[in-house]
Amino acid sequence: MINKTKKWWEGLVLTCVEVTRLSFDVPEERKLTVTEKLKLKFHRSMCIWCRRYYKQGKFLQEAMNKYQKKSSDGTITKKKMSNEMKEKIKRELQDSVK
Amino acid sequence: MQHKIDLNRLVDDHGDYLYRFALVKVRSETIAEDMVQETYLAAVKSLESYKGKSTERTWLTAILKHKIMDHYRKYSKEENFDDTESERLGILKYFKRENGWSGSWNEKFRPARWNISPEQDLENKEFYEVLEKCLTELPDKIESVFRMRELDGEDSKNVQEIFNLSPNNYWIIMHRARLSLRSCIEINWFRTEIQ
Repeated sequence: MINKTKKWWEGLVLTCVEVTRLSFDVPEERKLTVTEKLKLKFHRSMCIWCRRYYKQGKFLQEAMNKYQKKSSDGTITKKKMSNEMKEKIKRELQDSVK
Repeated sequence: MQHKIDLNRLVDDHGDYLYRFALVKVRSETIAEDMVQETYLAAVKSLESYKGKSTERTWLTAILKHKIMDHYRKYSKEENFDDTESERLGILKYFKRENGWSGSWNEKFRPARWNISPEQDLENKEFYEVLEKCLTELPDKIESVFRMRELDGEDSKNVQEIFNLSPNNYWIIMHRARLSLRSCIEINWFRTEIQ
């Protein structure tokens, strides 16, 4: 009896593994069905951890994007190419246009 | 009309930018320098086609992006990327497997509440140091795929092609990466904040 109930419940709801999987990077070929979207909403309405996973995941996406920009701009790192390398490149460029 | 460009100035103006752009993706200083070198050599070959339509930096960055993609294409041919079984296991550790309702969060890894504030986090140099550290804790191949995709918003189809991944394997890898990164950031950044 309990097994039947379990099966019925599992048919209705998504597990946290599934929800976290479906939260990001879903392949284009595999669009979420209407039922899946509803199940996702339902699960997240009851599960604070999966809600947080989604919000925090979004935050980290923004962070990664900013990380790229701030690294390149030199805002958060002052790393530079070695002078030897710069001079080497300049020499090679001059050689290649001769 | 021939666009007269001072090649030395081109290096001085954009070299460090390109270097840092590459470095955050490829992590190795040597490889980043190689990428920049190849970029400039390729640029000088296509100077004719550069008509100043985009800025110099945009033009050079586009070339650099292609060099980085080529680099990872080669890298993924040399390394075995099809390791989906271990990725799956890497994912399962975050979720408990009990007799009853399996698939819910393992208490150890349940997302805690984050006190997010843009000035303290996204504008903070120390935050990005923690982010970098957490990225390096990912297994190499997973880290490479994740960086390629998330740092620059590189199209997921391109990422799959570069690393020779099926959409499904790519999905699993990204899932693994996100779970691991989220957990590491929580432990090393948000949990250490004074409540």
